[in-house]
Amino acid sequence: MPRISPSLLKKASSIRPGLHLLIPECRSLQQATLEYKWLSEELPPEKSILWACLQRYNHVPLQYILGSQPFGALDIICKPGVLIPRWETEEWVMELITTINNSTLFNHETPLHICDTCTGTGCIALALNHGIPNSTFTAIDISKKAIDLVKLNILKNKVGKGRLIQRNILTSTPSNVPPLHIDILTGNPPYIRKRDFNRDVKTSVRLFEPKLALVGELEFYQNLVEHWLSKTDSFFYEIGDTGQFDYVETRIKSDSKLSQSWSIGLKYDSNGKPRVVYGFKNNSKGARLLPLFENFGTLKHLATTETGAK
Amino acid sequence: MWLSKFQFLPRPIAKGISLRYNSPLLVRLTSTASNSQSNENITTQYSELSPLLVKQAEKYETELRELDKDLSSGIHFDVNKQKHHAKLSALTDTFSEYKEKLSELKGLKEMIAFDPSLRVEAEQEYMELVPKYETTSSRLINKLLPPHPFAEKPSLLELRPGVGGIEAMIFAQDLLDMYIGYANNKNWKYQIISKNENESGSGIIDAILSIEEPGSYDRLRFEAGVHRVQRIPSTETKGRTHTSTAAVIVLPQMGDESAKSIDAYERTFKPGEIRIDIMRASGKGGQHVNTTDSAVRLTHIPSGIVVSMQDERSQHKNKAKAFTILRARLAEKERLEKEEKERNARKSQVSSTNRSDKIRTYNFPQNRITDHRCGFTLLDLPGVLSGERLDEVIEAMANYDSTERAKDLLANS
Repeated sequence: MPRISPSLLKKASSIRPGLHLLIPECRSLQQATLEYKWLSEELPPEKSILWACLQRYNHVPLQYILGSQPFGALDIICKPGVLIPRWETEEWVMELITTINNSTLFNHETPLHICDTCTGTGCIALALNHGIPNSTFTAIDISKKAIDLVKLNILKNKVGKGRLIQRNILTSTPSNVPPLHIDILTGNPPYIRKRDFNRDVKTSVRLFEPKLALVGELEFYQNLVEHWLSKTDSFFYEIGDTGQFDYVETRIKSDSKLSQSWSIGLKYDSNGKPRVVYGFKNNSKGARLLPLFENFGTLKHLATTETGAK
Repeated sequence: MWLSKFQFLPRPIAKGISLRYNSPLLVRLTSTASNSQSNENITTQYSELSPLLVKQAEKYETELRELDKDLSSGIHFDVNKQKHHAKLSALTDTFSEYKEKLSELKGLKEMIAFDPSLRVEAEQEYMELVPKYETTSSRLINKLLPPHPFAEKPSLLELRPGVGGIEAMIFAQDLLDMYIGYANNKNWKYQIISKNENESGSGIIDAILSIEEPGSYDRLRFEAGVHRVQRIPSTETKGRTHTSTAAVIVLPQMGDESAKSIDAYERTFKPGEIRIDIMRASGKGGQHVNTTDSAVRLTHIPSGIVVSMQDERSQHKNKAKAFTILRARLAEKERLEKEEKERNARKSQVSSTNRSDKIRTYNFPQNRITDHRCGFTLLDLPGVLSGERLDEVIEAMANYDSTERAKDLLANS
């Protein structure tokens, strides 16, 4: 990262007291001015703006200071201990909603059941439930803090009640766990490799966001292939690099049964990074979803048996 | 009476119809009647509507009668027909009011000329009736004119400082406050979509104000143009008067702009027509980073219009706002092009209301506001800048505009 010149800091502090404290996190005067504006507009009245700037200087995430992050049409409450929703997630979730709502194939008469693993704040499950008419959801997370926060977010955003489950999905077998049938499975599991954690992760994330929600190898993608594919008609899992996509693709292709029934694709975000691995089963519902998502990403593997065959 | 506060530079002969535009076109629009030959004390004049407009009004009257017949015979009316019916009956009401007042005026005039015993009373009544008549007739003209294509739309106001450095930024801020005050006065819902303050915080670099009231575009569209201020700026140390400017752009808001309908916007454009740029960050993104990189830039490739938006913490919301502004700009551009084409087609020499550079001057030393298009002056700067009396300026401009449009209409028919 380029060095911040002392003259820039001096200039910033002459514009507003405390503005220079935002420069190290924001890296540019323009971004710092924007953050200052958000702080002055949204900070709870009992907190001083200078205190907030100092917090930012100490790398505390803006979302924890303000206590929220907008996510689509929702305003998601953010608290330390639970991962902050990212714009990349917002982007693909919003696209998922639009794709389903725009289709004439789904008249929203048959309810869709959404299941979100590693739900954190609940942003994915709540946004989908809010955006797709006639949908129900189950949200699962290992952390009690997260489940409590999802409850708050349901209340705050007046989203229909869903089922919240506090469970470690890696150790419990999902076959006997409700819901018994899922239409859309989503997840944003921890995907930062342990070896990359100190090198690639921003200081603010490293110091203040829960490692539990960040660091993971391939275990959740293995769990997806081994336990969840049998219960769902489609899945959308966020990824951090192509490694996770390659893993899922190889696992499905190498299994004769799975490669017959699953089509899978890869979606890049608008920053050009691989972001989502997704797939559809070639049963009646999955086959109806598949053509809708033609422009969502690139299909890398097509189910080898005819549609409708089980 | 509020008319007395006005200072029309050209002398008005009917509200909104002034002598300065006494071109051959105006002769076709109105025939001026004067009774000065009967009594030199009475100088009040009134103008009849042109026969063409009267004919059009009569046409609407017959149409209404037919609709009424349908209604009484029990034919079902749909919403559009009902709306049309309501519009026609309002127009016909105004028309009969107009005819009534006109015949009264004619009767009084005869009385003044031929019946000396009743002259004093008749004169007085005549004087009272003329302004009422003029209000009715200008209302009728307004109703007969085809409405502006975006008349029913909510509006977007963009403000930018022009020449004059910080003083111009302060003036742009003053204008923003004026429109906010105006919206407050009218009880209109508004929202500052984006606002960039200058470094000292005393003025703005740009701002976009959304006024959500349907029909506000029709009222505010006359505000588009360059506004000029003449005053001793607070930044001036030697007490000299400066002249600075700020530009106001008024756009119609197309469709509702809630974040949910953003995708509908995206879909109305052909694929490849829009390029969406976001802040490109190096690194892996996703869970690795938590900075708020929410700025969005839209480029409409066929027209080259670029809209940047960064005010919201959510990229999704910035995108929605940017699409709203882009659609508004495109709609306005298309309308202007269409108007320009029509104007060129008939090679009209009518002076345009929206092409003149500087539309209005705010002169602080004289406490004066002058609209250069209609020549209207009001001596109450604080009243206008607080938004309370801005309506009077807009009203004068609206009247001027309907007169001009009536002229256009007649020139075409």
